[in-house]
Order: sequence, then C-alpha cells, then structure tokens
Amino acid sequence: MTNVNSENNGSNGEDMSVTTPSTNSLSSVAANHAAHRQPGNAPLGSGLEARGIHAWFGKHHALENVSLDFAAGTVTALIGPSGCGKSTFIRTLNRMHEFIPSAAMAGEVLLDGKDIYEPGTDVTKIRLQIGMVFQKPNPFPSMTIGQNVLSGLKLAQIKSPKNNDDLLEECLTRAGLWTEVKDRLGAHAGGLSGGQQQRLCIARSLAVNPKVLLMDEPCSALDPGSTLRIEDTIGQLAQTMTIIIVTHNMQQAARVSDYTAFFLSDGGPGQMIEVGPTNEIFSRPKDQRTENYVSGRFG
Amino acid sequence: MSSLLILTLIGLFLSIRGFQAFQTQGLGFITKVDWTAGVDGGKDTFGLGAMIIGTLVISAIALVIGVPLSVLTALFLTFYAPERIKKALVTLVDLMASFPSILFGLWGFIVLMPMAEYWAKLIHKYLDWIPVFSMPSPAFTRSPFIAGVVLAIMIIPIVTSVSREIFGQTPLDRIQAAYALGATRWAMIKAVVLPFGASGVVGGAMLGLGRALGETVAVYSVLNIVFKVNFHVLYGFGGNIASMIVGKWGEASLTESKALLAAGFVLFVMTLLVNLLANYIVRKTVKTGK
Amino acid sequence: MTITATVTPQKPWKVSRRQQLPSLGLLIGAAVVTYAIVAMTPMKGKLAYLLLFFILGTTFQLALSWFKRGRAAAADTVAAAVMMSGAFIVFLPVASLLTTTVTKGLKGFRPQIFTHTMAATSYSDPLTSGGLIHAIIGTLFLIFIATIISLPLSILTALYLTEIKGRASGFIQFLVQAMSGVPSVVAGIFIYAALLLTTNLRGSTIIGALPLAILMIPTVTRTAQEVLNLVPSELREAGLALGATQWKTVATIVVPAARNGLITAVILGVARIAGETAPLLFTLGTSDKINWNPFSGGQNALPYYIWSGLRDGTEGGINRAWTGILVLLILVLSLFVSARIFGSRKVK
Repeated sequence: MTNVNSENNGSNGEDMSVTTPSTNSLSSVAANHAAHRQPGNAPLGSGLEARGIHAWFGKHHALENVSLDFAAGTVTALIGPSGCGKSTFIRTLNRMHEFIPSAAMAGEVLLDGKDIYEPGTDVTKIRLQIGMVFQKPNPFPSMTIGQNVLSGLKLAQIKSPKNNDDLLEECLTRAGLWTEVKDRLGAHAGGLSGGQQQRLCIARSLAVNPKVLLMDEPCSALDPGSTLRIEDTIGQLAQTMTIIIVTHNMQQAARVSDYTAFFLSDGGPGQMIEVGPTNEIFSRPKDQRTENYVSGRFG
Repeated sequence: MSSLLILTLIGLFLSIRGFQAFQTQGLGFITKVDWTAGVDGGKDTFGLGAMIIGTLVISAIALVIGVPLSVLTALFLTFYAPERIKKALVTLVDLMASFPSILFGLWGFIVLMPMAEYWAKLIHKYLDWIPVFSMPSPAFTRSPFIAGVVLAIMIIPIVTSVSREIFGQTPLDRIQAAYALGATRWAMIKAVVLPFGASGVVGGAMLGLGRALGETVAVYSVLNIVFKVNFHVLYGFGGNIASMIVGKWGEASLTESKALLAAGFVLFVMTLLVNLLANYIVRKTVKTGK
Repeated sequence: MTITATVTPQKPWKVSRRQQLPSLGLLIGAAVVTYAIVAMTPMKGKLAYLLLFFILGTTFQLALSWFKRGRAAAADTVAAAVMMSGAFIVFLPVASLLTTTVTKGLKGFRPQIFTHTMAATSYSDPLTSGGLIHAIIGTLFLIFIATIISLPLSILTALYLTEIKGRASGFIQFLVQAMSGVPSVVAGIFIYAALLLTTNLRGSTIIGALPLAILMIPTVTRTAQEVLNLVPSELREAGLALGATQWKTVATIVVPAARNGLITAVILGVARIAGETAPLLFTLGTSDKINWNPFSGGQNALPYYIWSGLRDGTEGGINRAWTGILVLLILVLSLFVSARIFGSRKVK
C-alpha cells in the first residue's frame, strides 16, 4: 500500500498504457483535472491523517486497518463497490460512527497532529472543524434558508467574526447558491429543489469554517445538472480546505479528485487496497483488483 | 354486518337518551351556577355552571403540571436513558397507565393530601399575590389543587407514551445533520426534535385532557364537592362534573336524577370533542411524520 | 502494511471513570454546601434539601461546562439535569403508589379474606373479621359477562375494518374513536337511563356489565385492528390463491395467525375494566353476601368494595380498602404481564 506524500503533482498528459477504452477516458479526465489543478492558496491546518483504522458493529468487523493521509488543500475520492466500508470509514473521521450503539473502533485520526479520539476531547469542537455533507440533502425544514445556513453557529452558540449577512452571502456564494436564493432568504428550505437543497447543506457546513469537509456520495440523489454544479463547487472549495468524497461514480472521481483510494471487501472486513494520484489510479493501477474495478469488470 | 348495526344502535340510542334528558333542562343548564334540589314544594334549580368551570380548572392544573413533566420524561427516555434501564422504565410507565383510578383516589387521599397540603401552604406563603393562589380563609385540604395534582399523575402515562412515540420517529437524517454540525445533544433536541414533535405532543396532551375531564372517583376522594365557582385553587372546595354526579347520586330524587343525566350528557359531549380532536392530531403527525 | 498484533475493538468515546471524577467532586461539594446552608438558615424539610442540592449541583456542573467547553455545553448540562429530574419526579409517584399499596394492603391480607364476606361484618370492624370473596366473585362475573358481550362485537368490527374495508369503514372508525373517549361515569349513567330509569329492572351484575362492555369494546377493537394489520398480506393472498373465499381465508388463516395478538387485545380490555368503579355505582345491585346469580340479588365487585371502604372513612374501612386495592392490583398486574407474554409470543 502506498502512503501518499503531500506534494502536489501537476502531471502532464503523458501517454497511457494500453487498457480498455473506459479506463482510457477516465484517466484522461483525471489527467485533465491534474493538469488544471492549482495548488491551494490558503490550505487550512496541516491536513487529516488516519492511522490503522478498524471499525466494528458489534462482532461484525466492518473495516480493517485503513491508513490514509489527506493533505491539506487536496480532494481525495474514496471509490469501491457497495458495502466495502467507505461510508463507515468516512464516519470515523468526524466521530459520527459512534452514534450507532453497537459501534466500536480502533486506530487514530489525527487532525493537525492531534488524535480526535483522545479521551477528554470535546467532540462537538471536532465536528465543527470536520464537516459533513450527506447523501440525502437534509436541511432543517422548520427553518428558513437563511436560518439553515447559520444554524451551525446557533447550534454551537458561537459567533462568527464576520457579521451574519456577510457570512450568509459568502457561504451561499461559495456553495454556488447565492444568485438563486438571494431574494428569498426568508423562505422555507423545503421549497428548494434537490440540487439546491444539497448546495444549501454545503453552505450550512461552510458557515462554521471547517478545515475538512467530508462528503458521503453527495450527488447520488441528484440530477446531472446539479451534480456538475456541485462538482464545480468542490473544485473551488478545495482551495481553502481538505475535501474527502465518497463516490460510486468513477467519472466523478476522475473529474474532481487529486487522489483516489480504492476500497474493497472480499466478504470479510473492508480494506483500502490502493491509493494514489487519481490519474495514476485510473491509468496505471498497481493492484490487479483496482484495475478490475476501474475497468468496469465488476462493481 | 350485524355487529356494526348493533354497535351503531348502541351509540345512537344512548346519545338520544342523553340528549332528551338534556333537552328537558333547557340551555340555561350549562350556564346557571346554582344547584339546589328542591325541598318539598320548593322549586328545583339545576345549574351546571360551577361544575363546568370546576372541571376546566382542575383539568387545567393537571395539564400544567402533567404535560411538561411528561415531555421531559419522554425526552429523557428517548435520548438520555441508557439502554439497560430504558426498557424497565418504559414498562413502568405503561404499567402506570393500567392502574385503576380508585387506586389514585385512595392514594391521593391518604398519601398525597398531607404532602400536597404542605406544598399548598408553601405556595400560598410565597405566591399569594397571584390571585389564583390567594385564599379567603385557611382551608388547604381537599382543594382543586390537590385534585389537579392527582389528575396530573394520572395523565402522565398517556402523554408520555404518545410523546415518546413521536420523538422516536424524528427523522434520523435531520438528527445526524445537527450532530455533524457540532451540536450538543440538547442543541439537537431544540433544533430538530421539538419542532418535529410539537404537534404530536399537543395531540397527546389533548388525549390526557380527555381522560382528566371524565375522572370520577379519584377526584371525588380528594375534593370537597361544593357548588360554587372557585378560582382559588388552593382553597378547599370545587368539583368536576363526573364527581358531582357520583356525589349527588345517592340521595337524588327523580327529577334530580334526570338533571344528573343531563350533566352526564354535557360531559360526554365535552370529552367527545376533545378526544376526536386529539385522535385527529395524533394520527396526522404519526402517519405523515411531518 | 503487515498486520501485527490483533487489534481489539474499543469505544474511546465512552466517558471513563477518571473523567467523571470532577463532576463527582462537584456533586459532593454541592451536598456539603447544601447541608451548610440548611444548617445556617431557617429552611427545613426534605424538600429544602432536595431543591437546594439540585440547584447547587446543577449550577456547579454548569459552571464547569461553561468554563471548559463553552455556552452550548453549559446549556446541554443544564438540560440533562432537568431531564433527569423530570423523569425522577415522574417515577416517584409510581414507586409510592406501588409501595403504599403493598405495605398498607398487606396489613389486612390474610387467607381469611378469600373465604369470608362482609355479610356479618361492617367496614369499621377490626381486620380480623370479614373478607372480600364476594367482591372477587362479583368481579369475575362482571368480567366474564362483559367479555362475552364485547368480544364478538369487537373482533367482528376489527375484522370489518381491516379485512373488508367496506364503505361504512370511515363511519365505524369514527364511532370506535368516539366510544373510546367515553368517560366511565357517562357509560354508567347512560345505561342507567336506558334500562333502569324507565323500567322495573333492578340493578344487577348483568346490567353492571353493560357499561363495562361499552368501555371494553373500543379498547379491544383498536388493539385487534393493530394486530390484524400486522398479519402479512402474503398470508391472505396465499389463502385466496388457493381458492378459498375471503371469509374462509380470514377464519382459517388470518385469525389464527393473529391469535396471540387478539388474546392480548382481550386481556388489555379486561385489565381496563377490572378496576372501573364509577359505572358500577349506577348499575350494580350490591350485596355483602356471596351470590352466584348475576341476574338478581346483587353482587359486589372489587372496585365497589374498595369504594365502600373509602367512604366508610374509619380506620377499619380504609384498611379494608387498601387490602382490596392490593388484590385488585395483583389482578390487573397479572393481566398486564400475561398480555405482554402473549403479545411477544410468535405464532408458529
């Protein structure tokens, strides 16, 4: 297993090894992304590091020994077939895994060098720094659009250094929703379309200024137009934070991510098989199983 | 289906009978306050007003005390209680719902009254500038306050059960969204659970109200049934329709019996309206889940 | 990466004992301060102690949370304290009800009460005489008759609502709901008006069972409905596919499948009416002797026995009432427990 180092490779479009056409197009997309990738202007913190993560649900061993480095200011995609532990893994990163009564884990998750599972850590503060966007958009229906965006601040009872209106506009703009809702911030969130609701959720996560944003299949419930818009958003967000995105859609992974990690379960606990720069994973994967997956032979 | 016919017939028959009794009294029945059974040759006047107000006063006390406690308990059971004791406590609450009302009456009379008297004196001592708590003269036992407390305890199981069911149905994705934003447990409850469950709790409270309106023996045991409007809840007399019917039954003349019947009909209508409204609200929220 | 020693599942989020020490220290501190304050001021009584301890304890915890973790955490701490006390306040009466019943009821709980009646004793006599067997018999008769009347009606109505779903369903559902809200005293007085006021009939157990049936029908119907709705539709479809008529399917497949649940429904209905007092006051002809005839002569019933003791007001009467309640409570709890058992047993 490779451990990714934090250099930011701007790769040029070198020739791919001869593989099936689907891998070809994937890798060309990935190469294109890598070519246009700017290094982050103001990456927050020093990134997130997962070391030796195991996860259990009761006696069921769901995730085995996953170690991954997420460099500040990068976008990492987690791909793999259903049920191999990607969502479980991502939930260990912001301590949402522990809400399941039978959950147990082992390993460390270091944010800026400190283990978030250290006893005595204030978990609510951790979740302010590591945000999450879910598969199904979940704005708060009893609040207006404006209230939804600022809800994170209200829940944690913290005040933002900027004033509320500016923060509102900034978050909605970064999420790509400002122009569509700026005249109806007082309307209820339930009236938005699916794609708009998801962008609202992204804006909501941004308001508390996280260093890391976790996205669990954020576009799988949306139409292609919304999906592309959100992918644009991801690209811009990565300039100021670290993004980790679970996705079933390999084209999406190729479009948005700098690094890709491939997860697989062979009937036992899920494992992280291989990780590397995205265009390499799609064009020259080191592991045969990775190649089988990205070339569409299964999954 | 013949059974349906029978059921319908029962319902209709009883309602008609009751209504007839009510008709003989005239509409003033509800508003008149006095109830004097005529002595030989005297004219009877039957006025239900005092008892209607008494019913409402006692039920209001029961709601004010019982509903907040039920909501707190329901929240506790759903979000705070450790798994092991949660089941035991839930069973205990359901158990409480099956206690016969006469148990509450006897317990209220023997156990609660002395304690409640102590609290009533305390409230009177510090809060008697609030008109409701002032007293014409010190007579603390057998007051609407005590009756209200007993009723509160009786409706807590119902309201807690309904609230618990509603809170348990809060959509998980909203709960997770709140936690993912860094919310504490209470912040999550305030932002997600309470807005979601509010109307369900209201429905549950109305079910509790329906029960409180018709309580008979429990109230009769702890309250001095007197026919005067009494808003001083700490002062020792009052009444509600149900207990009044039972109280006057023993010595009632024929005409008075008919008046009691009419009173029963009024109670029936009151309870019916409240219960139908409550059922409607509860079913709407439980089904649609907002 | 090689997998070295076996890794054990852990729950690092669980609050360890060591982490709880500061809170514990604060609670002890609050207790000490409470004691000191009560000793120095004119406050007294258990209420003062408890209230003061609660306020101080919560305030200290709140201060700790605020200082260490901020406003939101402080609010969370207070909320948790309030929740716990709310639940505590609610369970106090339950505990008191149960313990009082047992302690006071046991005083008169002798084997003789199951063999004697009140025919030769008055309520205020000392507890060494008299009994309540006549009340038990009466209650059993009441339950039996009420069940016979309400069981077919309830089950058939429930079947109509869940299986046939005819056009009258909305109306019937409404009727059942309306019935479920009828206060027991109203049921009693209506039966009185319908049957006793205008005819020469005297109060008896048969008549006493009628308002109980009115109260029982909605309870049983609603539970039966829920239970029948739980029967998977595949069973019904299988029966119909085999060529059976709807009635045969219902009778031979659906009802047996829901059998345990239906038994639960009946038991719950019985538990509801076993303790009803008010309706009996209008409709039951009462007596202090054993009377095996439910049609005339009057019987007694446990709730009525208790009621008489309460009204008697003397120490003997009240004691008898407690014993009666103990017996009644045992009855109701046994029904409750058996309903639970039946409810959770799965039909093979």
